Amino acid sequence: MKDIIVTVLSLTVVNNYVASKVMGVPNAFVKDTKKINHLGLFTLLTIAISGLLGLVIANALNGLGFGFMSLPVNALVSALVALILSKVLKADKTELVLTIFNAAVIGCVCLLQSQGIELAQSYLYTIGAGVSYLVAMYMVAAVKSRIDEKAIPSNFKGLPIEILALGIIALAVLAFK
Amino acid sequence: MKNMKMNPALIMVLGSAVMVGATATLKNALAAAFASAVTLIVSGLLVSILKKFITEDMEVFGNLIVIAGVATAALMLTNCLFPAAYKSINVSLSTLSTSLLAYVVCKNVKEDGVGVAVTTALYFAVCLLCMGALRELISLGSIYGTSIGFLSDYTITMFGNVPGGLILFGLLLACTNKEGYSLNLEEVLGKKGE
Repeated sequence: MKDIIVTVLSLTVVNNYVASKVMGVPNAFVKDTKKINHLGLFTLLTIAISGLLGLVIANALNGLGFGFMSLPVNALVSALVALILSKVLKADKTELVLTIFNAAVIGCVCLLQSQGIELAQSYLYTIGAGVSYLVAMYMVAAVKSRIDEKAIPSNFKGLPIEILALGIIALAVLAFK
Repeated sequence: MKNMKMNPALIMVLGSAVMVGATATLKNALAAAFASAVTLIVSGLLVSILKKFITEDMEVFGNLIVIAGVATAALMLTNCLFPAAYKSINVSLSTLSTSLLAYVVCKNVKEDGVGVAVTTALYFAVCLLCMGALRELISLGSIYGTSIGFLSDYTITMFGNVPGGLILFGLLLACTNKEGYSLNLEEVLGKKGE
């Protein structure tokens, strides 16, 4: 239990996918804040399931000498996982496309491989990665709701100030390291 | 997408994983620019050739297969041409295989032709190189590994990390932003979700 909490917390706070790895940033800035819960849960489950499957497939392909194929195969597997989950969660086409083309989904598999995490521990990592993405979406939404109320120079309105705010969040996250 | 202001990287922060994660130095940015330009141009070209076979129902998966395949080949080529840079940015570059930027480009190619892919790839490459040059200059006081006199004594190393990259990216967006752009999902995907 302690391992689970430590891994999920460290991924959520220290190695946050959006704030510290800059993956899936466009999706984290969804305009319709009502969609956050649904899109966040959809992305969380896709990252968790496709991350695990991706590691199994990557290990199998490496064993067969087709390691170079792991990236496109994992991209397809993630897309299939997202498609199945979209039917279960009744997600619309926009959410499906945003999840399939979310850098955090394929990034999770690549990070699992590059960090040499074993299959037995990988489920903690993938769940942590998914939770970190959901937390980042909430953080960005909270910052956005505050920024919208402020008087901001015209050039900084919209995405520029939101990206700057994300930079400050990333700075705070960096402090935990 | 006829001018720099319509660059999806700047108005919709698409490709930000590469834009911030792979531009700590100009060498890394050059490798990232090469990989992303090859991915965008070749996948745009292939989608343009195969558009009769990629029906609207299969558009998402058809484009994904093309983009992922081309990105894998582009990453292999980048590994061959820029081995040192590739080693440090390979995770960020692998996100090109499911890049929303590439998907938007492939979608636009069907309507506007391959020129869209070429211009977007060039604009994105220019943005990557600008980010790389600025980040290296501020964080290391050098350009392409060549130290620049007094600047090397006044470096801000934070700009070599993710927070500095995001802050610089935000400032770059502000420089090109006149009307308060903001992300619109329907705009990104070209049509309203079903």
